[in-house]
Amino acid sequence: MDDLIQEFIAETRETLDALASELVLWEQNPRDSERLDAIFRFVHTVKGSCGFLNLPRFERLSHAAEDVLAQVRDGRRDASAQLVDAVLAVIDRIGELIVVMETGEALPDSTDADLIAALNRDIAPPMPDPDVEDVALPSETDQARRQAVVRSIRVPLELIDHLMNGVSDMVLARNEVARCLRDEQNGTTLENAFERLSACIADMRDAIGQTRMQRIERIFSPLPRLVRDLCADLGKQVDLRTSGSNVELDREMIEMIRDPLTHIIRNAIDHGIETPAARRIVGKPETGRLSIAARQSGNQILIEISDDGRGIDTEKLVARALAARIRNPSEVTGLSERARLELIFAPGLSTADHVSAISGRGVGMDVVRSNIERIGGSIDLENQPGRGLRVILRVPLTLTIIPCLTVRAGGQEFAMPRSAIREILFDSNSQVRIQQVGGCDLAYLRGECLPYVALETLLGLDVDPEPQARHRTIISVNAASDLRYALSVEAVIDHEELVVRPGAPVIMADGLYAGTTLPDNGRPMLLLDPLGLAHRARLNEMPKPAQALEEEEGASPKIDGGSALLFKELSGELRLIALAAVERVEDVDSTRLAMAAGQMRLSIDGESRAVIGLSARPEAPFTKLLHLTDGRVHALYAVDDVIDIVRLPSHVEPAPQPGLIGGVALIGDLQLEVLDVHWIFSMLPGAAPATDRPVCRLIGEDDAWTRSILAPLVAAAGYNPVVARPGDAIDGDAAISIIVGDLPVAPSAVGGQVIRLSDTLASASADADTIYRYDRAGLLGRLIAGQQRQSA
Amino acid sequence: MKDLFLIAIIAGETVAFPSERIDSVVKVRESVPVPSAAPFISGLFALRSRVLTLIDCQYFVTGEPAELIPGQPAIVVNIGGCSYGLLVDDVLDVVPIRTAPLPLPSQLPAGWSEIGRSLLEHESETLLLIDPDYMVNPAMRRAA
Repeated sequence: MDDLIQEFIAETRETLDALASELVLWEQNPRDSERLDAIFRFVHTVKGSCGFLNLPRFERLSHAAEDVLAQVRDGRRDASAQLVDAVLAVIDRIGELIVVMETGEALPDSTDADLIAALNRDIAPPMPDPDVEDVALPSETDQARRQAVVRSIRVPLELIDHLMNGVSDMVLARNEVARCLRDEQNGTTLENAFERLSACIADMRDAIGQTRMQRIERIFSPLPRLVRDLCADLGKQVDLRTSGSNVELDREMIEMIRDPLTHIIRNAIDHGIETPAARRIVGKPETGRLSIAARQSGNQILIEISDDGRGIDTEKLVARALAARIRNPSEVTGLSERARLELIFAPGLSTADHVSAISGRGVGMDVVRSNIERIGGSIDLENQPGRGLRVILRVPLTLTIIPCLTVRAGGQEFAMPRSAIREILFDSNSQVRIQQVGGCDLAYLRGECLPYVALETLLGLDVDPEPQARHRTIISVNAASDLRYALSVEAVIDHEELVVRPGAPVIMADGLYAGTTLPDNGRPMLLLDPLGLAHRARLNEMPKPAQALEEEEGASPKIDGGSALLFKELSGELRLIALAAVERVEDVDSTRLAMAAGQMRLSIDGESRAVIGLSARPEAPFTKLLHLTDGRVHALYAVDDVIDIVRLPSHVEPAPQPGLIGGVALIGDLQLEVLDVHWIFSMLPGAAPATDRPVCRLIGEDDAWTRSILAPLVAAAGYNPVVARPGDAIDGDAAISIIVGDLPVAPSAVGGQVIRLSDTLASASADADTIYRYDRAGLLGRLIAGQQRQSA
Repeated sequence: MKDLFLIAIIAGETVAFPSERIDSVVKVRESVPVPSAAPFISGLFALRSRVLTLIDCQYFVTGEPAELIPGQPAIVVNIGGCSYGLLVDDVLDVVPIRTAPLPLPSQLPAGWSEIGRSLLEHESETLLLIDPDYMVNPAMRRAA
């Protein structure tokens, strides 16, 4: 009997999950007979099973619902909103009772008269009944109870057959190996038999892995109901679209992403999507759009949740961070837009104006992110203020087999998930420098400054006085998207795929370990948790040098300061280029380079791209190329070698003529030429050639300032600067004219758009067309606006 | 089955374990330490393809971590879906005890009173009945 009840519970739960979306569709269109049939079938099945299993409470509920649904089916009653609600309430109650039954407790003793009455109360609005008893358990205990329940899984019969066959094959192969061993036939016969056994085992492992896989549909199917309920509570209209529900994921993983996903959806509906009235005002359709898409990409699953709501207001976020004292004003000022957006992950921060039942209950995006990162995943945001937010979750396919690095520290071996490791260096490497600053160790790896800790210190082990390796190894670890550190270990031993199992709660409680594994040598090994190690080292509590650097990089597009890459040209001289423009450095096979259409071109990623800085094919087998990007256009720049990363001085002496060299910077005693990245991109095909550019006439004295400071700026804004003296005859059309200085030139005599640059700040506000000569933003803004008008 | 108890020795004293909680008794050849874990965790050991956590029962009583002697017996229990080995000095016997358990005397020293659940009478000897749940997660009971 118990078995039957267990089966009833499992089956009912499963149908309930699948039915959730049907219910919502039925509500939208109560005349949809197909959905009605599906729901009817469900209550009918429940009724049938309950009668047999002697569960009177279920029977009463399902019987009442069935009656009503039958009437609707026959057209004797209308599927009014109240009726739909009442049916939904009955199905919810069945779900709640199933949860109670699962925990093996007796059902709470009560009737469901309120619900049954609601079914038959057709016209009367649903009154809050004072006697309504709440069967629903508080959610935390509910969760705890669910965990205690024996978990079951349904597997297709085909797969079980496959497993059974596999086991038979394995037994046969084992027998053959045994026979070989008994007859002492070593050599090839044994080898073949062993090979067969190995193949069988590998096949079985895959098949068992498949039994753990589940369609992501399992978390998608309850979503329509969730969205419906949220919308009803918040008075919003949302159209939910899901795709990729057939993507398969480890069932363990499905459980792990359920809560973060629900939280993101709650946020999207509560904070993202506006009310219908607000949407109408900003010209969006009243019904918001929320789409959830899953797809597999390599050994990762990508889940994208995008809405067309208001996006994240980073200004507000910063204000909140300041108000909640999560960041202080000096920290906030230098933040890039991206870093500001990242504030949403700071603990204790909420953008909700008031705490509602839906969100803002203290469980924030920080928890979502740490949950996702704990399972080796990552979370990214694409924010379009006013137009929507896209959240991208990346999670590994499976938790059980993880590519790991095995390391030794304090005479013991540990495993570390490879996904968190960025690079491995010896401490003897010239690119590595360890330094003590104010009592804490910092490692400089290729100019990047990271907190530095020894694994032995973190784990409280003694450093082996006689290590087997002469040099210690430094692993640069990416524990979380904004938390990086350098971990020093005695040695890196190997890279292998390990089957990881969770450890005992007493071991996992520390947070240092993510699980245990048994490698080939039969000695248990602990899997380190990179994030837990960082917490132990109190890295997230002290100011993060790594992040500070990142923020500076983010701010480096400013003309002065920032980091620059020092490199050697093929011709031999040293030059600098803004680091922000360099995407990566790559060694390419010189055979992929060819002279074509008067340019040296590289075949890359299935297309041909021009390479700057090469006049002929190099003789060396490999050519070092800088991949430059402005975020949209890519360019390749051939160099001899990359030397270092340096800080640019705040002042770069501009070059007299616009060209490849934008200026000269003083680094130490060296005068180095700085490439003008902007010029490089402007010379690329695709950018308007100089002749086609609109003319900008610079009217003023032909002095150094006009020629070497103003002209490059105008050229950079996409114009062809032409210098004219005030007395010169004004000929030809100019899209825009700039009158330099307070010259007595009447704007009317010039024609077209006129900007007047004033020498002093005081006279700048004389009229709208007058701009102070160093009001760079104002001038560029005008120029770019003019450019857009031209192309429009 | 319910009345069967495993008689073992912890810190030189004879104690009883409820047998319905016990999977098996194994000999532990070697264990791997878990750095910076709670002091009562002796380490990890492999049992066929599984990794088990070895609990040092003596630590609860004496406060001194025990050195693992290769071949020392451990009682394997499964608690909350995880398997543990409870490291004891020796395992003596499995006996049926049908007398009603007695409450713990109040003057019992702290270590014993924490891991003990009740007293059992067996052949004119009084044995302490050990609570394996406490040993695998002492924090849990203190919090409760």
